[in-house]
Amino acid sequence: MTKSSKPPKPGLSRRSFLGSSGAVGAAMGLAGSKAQAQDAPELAAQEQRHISLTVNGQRRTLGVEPRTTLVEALRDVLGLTGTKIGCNQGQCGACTVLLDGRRINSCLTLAVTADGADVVTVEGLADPTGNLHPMQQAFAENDAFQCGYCTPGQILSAIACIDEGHAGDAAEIREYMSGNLCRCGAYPNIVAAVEAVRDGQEG
Amino acid sequence: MRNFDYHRPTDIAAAIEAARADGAEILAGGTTMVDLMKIGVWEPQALVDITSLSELEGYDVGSDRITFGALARMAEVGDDDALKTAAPVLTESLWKAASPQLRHAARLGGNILQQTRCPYFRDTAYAQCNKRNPGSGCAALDGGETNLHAILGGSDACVAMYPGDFAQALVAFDAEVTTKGPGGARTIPFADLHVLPGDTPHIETILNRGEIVTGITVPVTGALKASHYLKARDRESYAFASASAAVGLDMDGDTVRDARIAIGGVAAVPWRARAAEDSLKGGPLTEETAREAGRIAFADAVPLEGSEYKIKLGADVVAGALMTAHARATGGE
Amino acid sequence: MAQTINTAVTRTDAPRKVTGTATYAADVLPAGMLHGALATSSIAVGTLTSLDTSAAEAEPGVVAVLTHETLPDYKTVKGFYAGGPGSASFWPMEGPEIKYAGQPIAYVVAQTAAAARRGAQLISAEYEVGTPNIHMDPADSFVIGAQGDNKGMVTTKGDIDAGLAEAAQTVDVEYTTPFQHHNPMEMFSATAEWRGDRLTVWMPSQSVRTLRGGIAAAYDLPETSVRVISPFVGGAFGSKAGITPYTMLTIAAAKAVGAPVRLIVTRPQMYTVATFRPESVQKFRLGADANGKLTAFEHIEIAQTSQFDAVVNPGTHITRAMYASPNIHTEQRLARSDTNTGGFMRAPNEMQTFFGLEQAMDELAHKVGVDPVEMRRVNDTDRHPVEDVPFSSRSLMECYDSVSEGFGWQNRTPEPGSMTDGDWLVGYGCATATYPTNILASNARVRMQGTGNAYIELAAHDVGTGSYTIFAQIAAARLGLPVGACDVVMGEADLPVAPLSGGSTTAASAGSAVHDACLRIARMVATEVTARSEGPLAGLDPAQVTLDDGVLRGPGGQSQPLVEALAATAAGEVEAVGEFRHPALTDQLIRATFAGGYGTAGPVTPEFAMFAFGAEMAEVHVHRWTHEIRVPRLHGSFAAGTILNRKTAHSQLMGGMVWGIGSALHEITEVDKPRARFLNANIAEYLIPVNADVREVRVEMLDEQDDYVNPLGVKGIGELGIVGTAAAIANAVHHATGKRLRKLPIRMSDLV
Repeated sequence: MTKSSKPPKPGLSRRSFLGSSGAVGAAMGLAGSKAQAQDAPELAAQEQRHISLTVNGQRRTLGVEPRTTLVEALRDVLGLTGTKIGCNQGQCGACTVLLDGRRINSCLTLAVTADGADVVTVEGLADPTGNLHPMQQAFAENDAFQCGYCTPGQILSAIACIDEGHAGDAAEIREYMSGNLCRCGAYPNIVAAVEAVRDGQEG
Repeated sequence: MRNFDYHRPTDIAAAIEAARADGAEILAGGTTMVDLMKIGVWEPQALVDITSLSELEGYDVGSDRITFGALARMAEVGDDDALKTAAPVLTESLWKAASPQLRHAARLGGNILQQTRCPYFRDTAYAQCNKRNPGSGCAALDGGETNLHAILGGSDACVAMYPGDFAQALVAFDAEVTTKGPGGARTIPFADLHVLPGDTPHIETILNRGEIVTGITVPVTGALKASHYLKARDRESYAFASASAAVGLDMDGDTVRDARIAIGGVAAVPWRARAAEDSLKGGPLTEETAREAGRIAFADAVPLEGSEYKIKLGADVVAGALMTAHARATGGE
Repeated sequence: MAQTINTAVTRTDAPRKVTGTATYAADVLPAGMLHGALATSSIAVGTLTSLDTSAAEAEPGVVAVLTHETLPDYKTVKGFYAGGPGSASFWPMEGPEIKYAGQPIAYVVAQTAAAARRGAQLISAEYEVGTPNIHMDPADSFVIGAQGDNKGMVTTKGDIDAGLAEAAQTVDVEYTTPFQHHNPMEMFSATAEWRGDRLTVWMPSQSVRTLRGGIAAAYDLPETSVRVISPFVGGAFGSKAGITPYTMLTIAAAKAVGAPVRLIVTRPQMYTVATFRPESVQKFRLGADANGKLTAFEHIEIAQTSQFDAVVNPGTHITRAMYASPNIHTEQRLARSDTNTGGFMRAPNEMQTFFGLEQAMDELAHKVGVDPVEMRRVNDTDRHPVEDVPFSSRSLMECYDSVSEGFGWQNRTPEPGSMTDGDWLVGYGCATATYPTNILASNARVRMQGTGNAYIELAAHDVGTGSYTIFAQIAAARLGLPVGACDVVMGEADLPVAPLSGGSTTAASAGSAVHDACLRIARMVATEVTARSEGPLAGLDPAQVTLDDGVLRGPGGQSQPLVEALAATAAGEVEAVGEFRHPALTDQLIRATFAGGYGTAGPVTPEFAMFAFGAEMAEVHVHRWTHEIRVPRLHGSFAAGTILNRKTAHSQLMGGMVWGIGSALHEITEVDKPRARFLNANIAEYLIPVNADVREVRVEMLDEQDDYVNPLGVKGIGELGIVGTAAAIANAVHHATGKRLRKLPIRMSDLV
């Protein structure tokens, strides 16, 4: 919103907001493309760039705008809605995914910059037969969430936390899990879950 | 976010060429750039993604100098064990910043150019912001909330605070920045990189259009080994500094041979406190001299309404940081 | 299967939540869906004089821009505090009037979320600008009750001035609490799809029936034409209870463009398009004799409200129940300022009032020279100090005894500043927690199959509280089935009536309806199997058959597992709708709930006062150099009747205590006074605790039996944990530093 000194626009008619009925129709086709086009789903009609991502081991080609963020590409184009948006500003960690093995905020990552990259989301953690990843199991058993909304991001961050070697003790886990906000306040249980997986791996 | 053209050159000459165009901006980790683009504060017409310039990656912890490529990630550097021993202030100022996710994405070259968190700058609903919209005024100084603004280096046009951590370590330890641009390569003392707001707060650095930060060099000194970054914040992690201090001491017995002090969370640009350093040199480091150095560091501070506390807080943080550095210098830690 | 109650059961929805397959509202992508975005006002008070939408309309991908002039009409929805389902009484985009900063002024629909948000950025507005005040003026306050009068908003018992005059020690103190925002992790969203006159809305909600009823009324539709779906809610804490402007605008936008529209409200916009915790002033005058026994208790609360609603969250009704005193005076007051209407945020009556009360008690204890725990003990009471009815159960001092022992309260040296640990000053503080037991009518449908499954259906919600799990546990215990065989369906308005999930009522009220449905099933099965010629219960009087942990038992020791008896019936399947109608619920209250409102009885009935209690102790460290305040230990013991699930209950109480850390040390919505805007409208600068802020949090849940509150004996625990925390921390800060901080949050800047 900017304040401007442009002349006031005459009152709009009740119908003038619609560009044309054609525009709506076209939009419906496109926005629904997720379910229809498996090969190269696209986000919008203009300024498309085709990128390829390896998502959870599967190579995907998709059309995005330069401004499309990775999280919107995952959710709105590929339909992988397990990754959540909690702030869209890099302030909460709900959108955490592993990008080429590193945990990052997918809301601050432009999808075009991830062209050719390997992405792991929460949908890629359980094995193909549905057995949960140990971190998923540990989160469930330790009640490491309540509402569950931050959980996909927490789990990916927790896996990275151990992989990075930052799960030495509870204090280190707390510090290196502080990029993932949990408004329900499940933090002590999250730490317990990370410790359980760390100890399980050592054992 | 306004849509834009996206370029990803694979050599630096092409990157400079693309970046010198009007409306083009350089993109590395994107943690600041994408954020500000989303909220409409920055609206570049083109982004030049330099992350394919692999020669800008990596870093080296040498015996007389430490060098960082501009694309080195905050996470990899902040967690480096060798660097932790050689220059604790560098690792501490990195891992205490932001979050693990942001540190994995953010690159050092972008980090030092981090933008202010001034809420009036970040919210385009405020018509007044000289940094965002030159000549429009300053909403903060027009009756706004100023408890988080700069008490050092601000001007009548702008009191936005530089929020970064790593830059305080760099300015304290005489780092240099290397760049390449349309005019060739150059080396810039880190202390000269950022410019005070004065009447032109929209001009933030001496970098020219199309000039790309390629690396950072920190000379190894005695004080670097016994250094410390102390960051005071209301939240234990993932928070900007209310006040911070990057310090280092080189002791000759009980006498301070060299002292380094920079202060964060309080100034318009990365802020070296040279008078405070001088007050310590040639004398002992005691709780009393440390506190005096803290007071001197803030002698010129101009508190704004609500930020009076920063003078005392900042001084205490400097003193506390010096006590830790002293312990490190004398084998006490 | 009785052991399923009061045990630690892993959440039944855990597999979905850890795999990303739990479907939150914004995860639904109806075919042909378009994206909405809000443009909001930069000013707080004034009139829109022009709105230029041309740049937005020209933005590629933008399909429509709706303004107050082009938005399709719908009937205005009444605000909650005016007895309606809305989050506020004033609805934006009905005209050019601007009453708060961040008020929606235009709605952009586009093919992508990015294009919609860009379109919203491109709208430019001009205003005639008025002069706003974002802070209330406590001197300009007034008394008003929920019904527009001042009924019940002033309490007088005895003579407060006489009580103060006879006191050995008095305190006359004022505490302030700031605006706070819920900031659930899930952003507000609404997705609306019209098919002819039938409407489906996906929206995270604490009250799907409130939503459906309000929406149907706004469009003159029968409720059967409106579906509201909210199976998973990413945190609510009071913010997702009513119908908000963004809901109604999205529904209207979907109607206008003839396609489904999804709006995800931006995090900054979440600060202005819904409710928040109003700022407040808490004034206390207390007097005590030489032993600490209260002689006078006065509490005046002044809370902020908008210009167009009266947000009455009567905290004085809770504080006055706490301690015995012969002389009591309380007043509930409001003062207006230019914001959207606030509402309820986790412990809306209690968090801020107990920050005041429990510090005032600490201050008085300090003056009298008694231990703060003893101060509470000498003033404990088994009767409500004002209403003069007994408490249905009150285990406050048991909580203090429990928490004192585990915490090591006896190690506290009374003198402030007398305890240290290296560079840290150490302080111990304690405070009381309480939460009223609110009672609401509820229904629940249970269908049981002789093959050993049960389906539990009700329009309740799991906002992270564990409702899916505890309803399955209740059914499992009653029906004699494994928890995993009990499938709970919730979060749809079409399901049997359950109340708004707020006020810590879901487990007690809706859980009791589930319980009742199971008993009805048992009666139906007993009726059928006793009428048969064969079987263990054949020929018995069904009225004499009882249900005992999933087993039907006759008077002569005959027994048959319910599931076996059911398998022997003709259909092998039975269905019943259970009801919870507490004797304290009047017809009017029951009707209110069934109409989508909040028809609550309690916490005081003609017979009893019903409250849950707790005691909290905090260890606070204040750093010598940085003045940083940290909470290495926070312990709480709570007594809240029956604990259904020790795992999820522990999480709820712990989560409440973590919220208390946030309130004590972090949370404040800062304001830009000249322009009356919320300044730190994000979750980087609006601080909430991160993992590193939360160290040892110990929760003890005491056994407590209460046969009056409901058949399950359940009180509420969703809010209890936050209530005493901020005061316990503030009291510990005083003990560590000698500084008494009478405002929230307590920051480094207060201690330099």
